Amino acid sequence: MKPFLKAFAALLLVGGTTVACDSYKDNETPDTFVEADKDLNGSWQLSVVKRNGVDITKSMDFSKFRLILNADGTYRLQNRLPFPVKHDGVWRVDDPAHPYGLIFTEDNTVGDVDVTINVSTFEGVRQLSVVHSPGCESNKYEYLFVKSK
Amino acid sequence: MKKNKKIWLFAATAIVCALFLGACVFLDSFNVDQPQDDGTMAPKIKINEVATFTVNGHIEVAGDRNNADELVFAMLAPRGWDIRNNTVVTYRATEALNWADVQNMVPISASAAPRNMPGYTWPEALMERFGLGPNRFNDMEWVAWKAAEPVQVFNGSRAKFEITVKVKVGKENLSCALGLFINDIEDGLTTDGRYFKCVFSDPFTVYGGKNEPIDYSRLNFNTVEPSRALQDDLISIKFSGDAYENDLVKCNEIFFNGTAYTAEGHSYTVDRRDPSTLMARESNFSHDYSITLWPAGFFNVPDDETITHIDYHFTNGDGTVVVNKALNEVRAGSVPASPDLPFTFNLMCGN
Repeated sequence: MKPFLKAFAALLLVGGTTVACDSYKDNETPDTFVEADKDLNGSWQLSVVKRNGVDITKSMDFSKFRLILNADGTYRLQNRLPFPVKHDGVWRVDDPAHPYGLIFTEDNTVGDVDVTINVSTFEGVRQLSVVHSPGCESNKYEYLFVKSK
Repeated sequence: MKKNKKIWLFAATAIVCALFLGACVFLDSFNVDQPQDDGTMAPKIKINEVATFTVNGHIEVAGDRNNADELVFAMLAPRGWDIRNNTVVTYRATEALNWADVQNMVPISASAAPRNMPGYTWPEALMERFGLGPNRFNDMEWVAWKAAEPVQVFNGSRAKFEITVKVKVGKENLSCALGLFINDIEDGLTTDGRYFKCVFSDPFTVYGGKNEPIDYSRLNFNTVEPSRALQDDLISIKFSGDAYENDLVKCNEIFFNGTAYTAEGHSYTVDRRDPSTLMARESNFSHDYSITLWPAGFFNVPDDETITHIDYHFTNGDGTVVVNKALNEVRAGSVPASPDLPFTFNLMCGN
């Protein structure tokens, strides 16, 4: 092969390699990746209610209860049911990106009410699960909320 | 297998006479008798005391097996005993283990599923598979434990085991059949009965408390679940129309009416027949009706008052046909103090 052709082939090879490298270059560096906050603002309604592990969703009309988490940090309870808080107030999460707790402060009260939550997505729908014992401690209730439409 | 090689199949577990996994579980005794003041033994104990139950059995391994496994023990008991938190379970066994050494068992994680019943927790799977046994009052729970340390399981061994259960009973008078289940983690509730055992005791009695004894095996027109609840619980009140003869089951619709009494001295009565008090029929094959309600909301009790008890009855659309405690007592062979005696539900927590 003539020197010129050799140089040209080498150039192509280097160029191709460079292109190949560029095409796989990861523009995201792990250190700068930031997970989006979980958006919990909105009106939540019950989709499943379990008592001591037994589904009682169809045993009672749970459809009217709403937990409304406003973007301004206030919350409201509509058509109240047993819940860790009884009155309206303000709310926040323990960690916006990985929320494991909702923190409520009822109006005209001192002290917070911390509620452990589990945020998940099922078939594209965000779900909010709350396990609590509003009555006897031995009775556990799991409320599974979805955002109301 | 060498004779001098100690073999133990893991305590009650294992099971499988089949070709590969083989350890069949056999139950030899389930003793719920407790020492009495007069020196005798009987299946009864005073409230709040610690009862000791013992389970004896053996395991036969008949197939090729050489792996570690964990014995599973489960018990069905009144929910008010809170056996997950009030029970200590130990076992000992021959063969691979030394009979003199007491081994610990620990509660299986509340979210763990049996290997062969995915989607169920152990308590859910046991309730699904074995239910309440001879009990009729659904205020009981299954709780499962497993051996704290896995034990090697070998072919050809026959090991005996003894499980000891120490449980603090609740403060309520009651009589119920206790459930017992033995299996192993590897088997995980298969459908082959050789590999697990489930039995129920004769009636076990707790006495000395203040409440009227609850007979878990007895039919009543009424049940409330959960049996221990406060005004911010969700309670399900059931009318079992097939318990005894009555005219209410002939009616098209059955309603729940009652009165809530508060510690502040007030009462709140719901005496209406409308959709809010209508009881739902649970099945076309029985006359069971139920209603689930939030007591504080149902009776519209102010937040600053505390409900102590609820008197209630079941009735028809115009209130002319009533099933109450008085009728329940008559049908059960007793004489009620009054023909208007209502059912009563005391709002309280168990322990």
